[in-house]
Amino acid sequence: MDQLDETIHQPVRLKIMAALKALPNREAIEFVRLRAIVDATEGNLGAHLATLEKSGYIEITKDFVGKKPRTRVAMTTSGRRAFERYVDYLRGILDGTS
Amino acid sequence: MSLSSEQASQALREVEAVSHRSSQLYQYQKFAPMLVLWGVIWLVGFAVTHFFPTRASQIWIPLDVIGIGGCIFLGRRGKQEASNNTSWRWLASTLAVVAFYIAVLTVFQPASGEQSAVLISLIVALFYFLGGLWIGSRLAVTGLALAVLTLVGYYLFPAYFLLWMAVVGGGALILAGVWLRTA
Repeated sequence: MDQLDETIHQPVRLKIMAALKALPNREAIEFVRLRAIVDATEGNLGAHLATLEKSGYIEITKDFVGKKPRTRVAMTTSGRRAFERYVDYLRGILDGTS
Repeated sequence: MSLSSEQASQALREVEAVSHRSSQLYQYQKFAPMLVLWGVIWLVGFAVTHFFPTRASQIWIPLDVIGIGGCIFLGRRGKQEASNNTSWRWLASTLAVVAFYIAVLTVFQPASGEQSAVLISLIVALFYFLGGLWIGSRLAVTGLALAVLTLVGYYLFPAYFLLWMAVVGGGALILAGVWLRTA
């Protein structure tokens, strides 16, 4: 990778991607839990999730548990690859290869 | 846009910290219902064993089967890509604990029902504590509390030890599960 992925590099989106990458493949996390990890407001997190979804890096599913609405977020295969490339790029800067 | 090595280093530290937190909370979420399940099993098992001590094996074998099956189910629940790896690890881990427990009891026999209960409780506590060292402090605290409560009950309240384990041991596991859930 010779260019920085600007979509991922934004601080809140970087945290979202790091949080999702730490989960097993295709495992989803609930919106409220992700918000606690990322430490963002609901609106802010929602906006950044929309950006990542538009890029194809994450999938958002909405359903109901009983009568309570639930939003779950999972990283896509494409998002996982993009994040790995992003981390490789950062490591490359430290190694002097990027 | 290009980054300096300081910015890259900062970003990697951020990734590391968030990944650690996310992974820890994920593990807590997986462990929480299992702790509650085993808390209920201890509550029922030790209480019934207190009143019917000669039927301990008839009481505990079905309860253990429920516990192991429940853990396998809970471990797989919610996964978009079902994997047998986790199930087999749970099963193998539990069988290893049971084999160790039987081997120790065989070597050190004769052991009373209370001593057998102390042994399995301490083994479980040790696993929670060791798991906590790798996963997160709340699990380690749970293991430590379980070990201390087991020994307190055994030495200070020997006549009511099984009831102690039902209420205090089982209750501690249930509370620990709720505590992990709220992390």
